[in-house]
Amino acid sequence: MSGEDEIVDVGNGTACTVEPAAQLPQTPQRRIIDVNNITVRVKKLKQPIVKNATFFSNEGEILGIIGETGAGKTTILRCLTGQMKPATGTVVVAGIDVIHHRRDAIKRFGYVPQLELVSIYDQFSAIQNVYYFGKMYLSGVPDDAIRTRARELLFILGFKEDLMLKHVAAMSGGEKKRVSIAVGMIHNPDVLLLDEPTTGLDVSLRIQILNYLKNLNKKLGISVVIVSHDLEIAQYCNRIVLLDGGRIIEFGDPEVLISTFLPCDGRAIKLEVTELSEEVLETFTQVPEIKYVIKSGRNDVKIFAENIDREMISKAIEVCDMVGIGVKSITLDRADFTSYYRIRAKLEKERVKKEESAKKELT
Amino acid sequence: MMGSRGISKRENALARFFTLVRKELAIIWSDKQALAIVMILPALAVVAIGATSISSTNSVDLLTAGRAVNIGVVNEDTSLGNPNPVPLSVDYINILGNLSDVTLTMYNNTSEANQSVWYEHTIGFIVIGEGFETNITTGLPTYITFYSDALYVLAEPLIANKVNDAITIFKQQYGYNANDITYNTANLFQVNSALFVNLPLILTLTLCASGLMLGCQSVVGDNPLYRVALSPATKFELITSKVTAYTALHMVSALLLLGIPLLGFHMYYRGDFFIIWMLCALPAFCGVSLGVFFSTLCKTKLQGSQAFLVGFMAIFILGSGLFLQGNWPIIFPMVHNQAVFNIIAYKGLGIVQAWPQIWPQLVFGGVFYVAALIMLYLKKEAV
Repeated sequence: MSGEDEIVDVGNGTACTVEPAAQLPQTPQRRIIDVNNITVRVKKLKQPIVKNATFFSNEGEILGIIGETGAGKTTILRCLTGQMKPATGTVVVAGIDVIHHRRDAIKRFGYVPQLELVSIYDQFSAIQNVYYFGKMYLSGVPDDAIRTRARELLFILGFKEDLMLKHVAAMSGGEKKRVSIAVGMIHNPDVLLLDEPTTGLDVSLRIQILNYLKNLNKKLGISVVIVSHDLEIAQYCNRIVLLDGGRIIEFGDPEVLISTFLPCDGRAIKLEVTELSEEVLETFTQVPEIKYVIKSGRNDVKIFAENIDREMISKAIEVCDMVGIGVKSITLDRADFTSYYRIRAKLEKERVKKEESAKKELT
Repeated sequence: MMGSRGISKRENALARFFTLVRKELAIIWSDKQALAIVMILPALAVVAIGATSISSTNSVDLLTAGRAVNIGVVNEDTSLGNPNPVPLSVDYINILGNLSDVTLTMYNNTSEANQSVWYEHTIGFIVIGEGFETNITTGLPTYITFYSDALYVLAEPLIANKVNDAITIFKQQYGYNANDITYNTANLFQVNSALFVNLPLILTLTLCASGLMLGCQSVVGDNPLYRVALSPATKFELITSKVTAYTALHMVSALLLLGIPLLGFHMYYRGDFFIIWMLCALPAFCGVSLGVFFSTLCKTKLQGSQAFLVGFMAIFILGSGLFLQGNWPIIFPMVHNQAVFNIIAYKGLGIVQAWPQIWPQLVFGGVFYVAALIMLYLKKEAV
């Protein structure tokens, strides 16, 4: 990477330019994750479940792999952990070829499965869990040193002494998740791989977990890979892999993706109207200057256009007048990742649909 | 240490293995109720049986029917010196030998025959007295005496049934009446309590079945197992640690089961207590290995429980030595382990004499241990 732009094949015949994120250091960085053109097949399906996936992440970064259910996120994660072997391509984690040297690679990454049930022992306390897993990796290290490290890790993850000694069975979902993260971190891995870390948690716990991950990333300098369908993770990530139907549709810095994909650097007009319906949204899309329209709240609509100016605002108000709804407020807004994702995923689905119908016509 | 990434990553496979064993024991320790069931209930059974005197003898015909028996024969009849015509004692022996499920082994004297029982080659022997033919032909009553292994609960009824059947045929053949020929019995070992008789079965059954029960849940019930498999711990270490931990746990149970009769009920072990105790690892190893293998085949805990039931029935019915017909006991560990217990604990013999009963257990446990290992390696579970 070394700070230069890089052309990345995203697997659909197109290419996207990935610009280095502004906040990333400009010095040459080690690639902690390097996935090159992997295709994954399973026996039961004719079509590969992951097609020509290529992406990377540098040391110290947080990489998010985002997609809907069945997009291939967990498959990619399993390739990273060596639990699945791709039919083609290479997977390198922390400089080790996972496909051919899995047992070496295992020592270099920490893994946090989606479910705590399969991740930690209910019968044990937090400290016991972290200790036992620590001993698996650090078998030559004295017990006291492992226990000390376990305490330090749990402390960073917000555990007080009494909570460390509490049985996992009696813990809340968020606490269990943090124990699982500590288990993944105990051997000081180069990269922490997390499968849906926020699934099943309420909003405040989701944010809490993501903040703890960010904290670990900052304090320990550990690289993180988060696989999720939760779009909230994007704001914590340095890079994002967007998956759809087993293909990578976008890869890059989320801010850059938003500003390059959406017109006017992702700026938008946000209207709060008296009554929002599908017809109203449809009417907005008829306006040539408007590129994308999305519903962002019960009666809120976000309009993306090539130019966000007074003229555009007037046009938006005109449309509202035309369909007979009132405008309560107008604000200038910026697209967040959720808005970007909804538009991007919708376009991708339309593209796939067109491709399929074209194929059908041919046959 | 935290920020420096300086923690040493030295590996010590043995330390890791013992941590896995400790982890398995800690899991069981965390469930005190299950631990109590494994430890206390069998001990209570021993106490209950120890406190009971020998109950009245029930009919064992049902149990003995169809069972193969190996009987020693000592023929001291003086008419043997005259081979023509065939002496009556030889004719009787032929009749006995031709009965179904009977194998006879001839011995020169009672000392030799006694040894054969001692070393478990036969379950007892008959002695045909020197006046057998003379007495019968002169109208005097004659006796066949038989000695049975009191440590084998069915030995006496089994031999008695066969000897009696042979006498009946013999009488029909020669037209003697009921008083002409009969038999006496004697036990070779002193049976002093119900506990003495039942301890080998209780011990073996407890260790084998309880090991099987724990083993059946060991893989299928260990949800984070595949997460552990994503660490440097190998699958070999995972299976071996389970087998080791569960076997060790049952050694504690065995200590209780052996200790209570010794301290509470004046049980006398002729053999070395330590060797007896160490050999208790065999039925536990067999049960645990079979259970762990079953567990690798199962996908749910319910399947694990059902597998235990099937395994238990197989082990108990085919292997307890009580209900078996035919040659199946050869592969089932319980029959062998009871024999080992008798040989070492009651007869005071050594491992060398018990070896023919030890190695089948090692093979049984070993085969299922390896099978469990292969199954776990073949499993492609992902977390």
